Amino acid sequence: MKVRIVSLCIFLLCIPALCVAGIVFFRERSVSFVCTGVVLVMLAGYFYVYEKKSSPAWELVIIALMSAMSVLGRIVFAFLPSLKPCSAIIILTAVYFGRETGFMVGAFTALVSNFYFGQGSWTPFQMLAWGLTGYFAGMLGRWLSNNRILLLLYSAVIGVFFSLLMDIYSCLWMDGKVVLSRYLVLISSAAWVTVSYAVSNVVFTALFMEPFGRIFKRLCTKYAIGLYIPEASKQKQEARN
Amino acid sequence: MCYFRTFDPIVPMTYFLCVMSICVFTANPYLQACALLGGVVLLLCIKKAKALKLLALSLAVIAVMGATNPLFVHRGLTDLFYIGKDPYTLEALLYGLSLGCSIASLLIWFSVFNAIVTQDDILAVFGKRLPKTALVISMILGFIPKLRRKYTELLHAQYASGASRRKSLHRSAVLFIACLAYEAERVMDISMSMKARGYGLKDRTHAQRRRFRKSDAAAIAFSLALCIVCFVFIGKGRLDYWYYPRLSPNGFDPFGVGSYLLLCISPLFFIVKEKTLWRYCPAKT
Repeated sequence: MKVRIVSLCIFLLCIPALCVAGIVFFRERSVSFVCTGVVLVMLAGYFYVYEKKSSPAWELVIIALMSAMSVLGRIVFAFLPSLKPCSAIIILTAVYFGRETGFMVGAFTALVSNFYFGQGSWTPFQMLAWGLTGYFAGMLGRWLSNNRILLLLYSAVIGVFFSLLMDIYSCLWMDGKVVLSRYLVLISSAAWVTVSYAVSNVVFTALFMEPFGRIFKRLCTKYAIGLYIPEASKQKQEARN
Repeated sequence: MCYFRTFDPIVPMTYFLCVMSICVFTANPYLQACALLGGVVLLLCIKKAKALKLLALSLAVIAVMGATNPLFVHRGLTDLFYIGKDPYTLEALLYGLSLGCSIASLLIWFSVFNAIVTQDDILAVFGKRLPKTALVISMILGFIPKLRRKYTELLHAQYASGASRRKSLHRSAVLFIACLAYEAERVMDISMSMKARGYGLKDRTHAQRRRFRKSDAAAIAFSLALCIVCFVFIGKGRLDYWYYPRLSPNGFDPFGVGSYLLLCISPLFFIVKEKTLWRYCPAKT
């Protein structure tokens, strides 16, 4: 209950307060302050709720493993220019293990892979963008896990979404505010990157869909974890406890 | 680097937070100059010749931002020349340079940050306050080398059985999936083991090797005090600066700018002290 109150306070009080403070203190560059602040506060709120919630050991371990896998993927597939498997891995994990696991895998992927590729002020934006990729995938999990075409479509759309969010970030970084003309220029000049995100998401989701599903389903059946636990193994787990 | 080693890891992190929080949001050229100066000096002290590449990159960023900003923005009263119908103004040029400076100083400060604050420091600071996050991060950092080793092992096995050396998407994907399949089972064993040893029970304790000393508190108070002074001056509008329509005549407040300069170059004190001690005070035999 206390956790819920604090998280509501974070979302309902801190974010408007940040907006007001930004407008009062930083007239010229208020948008960059407000955006960065809101991103940080959202991440902080999410991590706070996550810290306070009791989660089973398998969840932590799966989050750690899948984040490590997507960092490894970023390293292993580095020979293909601008094709990254991270989003595909995050989406598939979220579909099978739920939205919160998906969010954490996305956020940790961004955080830890930047230990290798360089931290910067883009890290929080990347964490939020990848986290939301996982979160939405987890929300739509029921439909995505049964329908392959929907899954591929989702991964293409989320690639475009990711790219647009990061363009807002680079626009903020350059101007200190969102100048529409500059944003449009950035979007059109980054069109290649956007397309490559969407394509790489689709390619990797198509490649990983079937084998990852097999591995995850096996884990779910064997250890009775995740969202889609077969009835039989659920009963067995209960009997064991 | 060893210069901050005598402090608790939270000291350099607070310091960088103070410096960068001002340097990101200010449009004041004097403050930006302070940040840039402090960052460049620190970077050169810490990384020596390795820093030159980054400095060249920062110069390029400043030049590109300065040159291109007037192409997008046509505000400002002093026209330098015209491109088509649009004026290329001095104010927009200077504003671009200032944006370039803030980006470059951020790049430089992040590089200094990465050199001084290591992953261990981050874990040491957050391990107590965010135990779950710290646990997951340290697990990830442990899994990555293991996974890489497994991947290389599988790749070498493929080579040994006569596969071609050319990298292909399909083969990488197959190996990658094999890594996951292997590792997923092993990892579930870890989680069972954690559960068996009482993970998630209450009353766990936390031990830290280093204790928080008075000098740590003093250093944190020093950075925070200077940072707050700067923010007070920014809040009062003494450090406001604007470029459009004409460059602002004020914005230079000796006290505010001075305190930020002091904040930016304060680590130099420790570097100089250590070097002097090393050079002129040899150990007694």
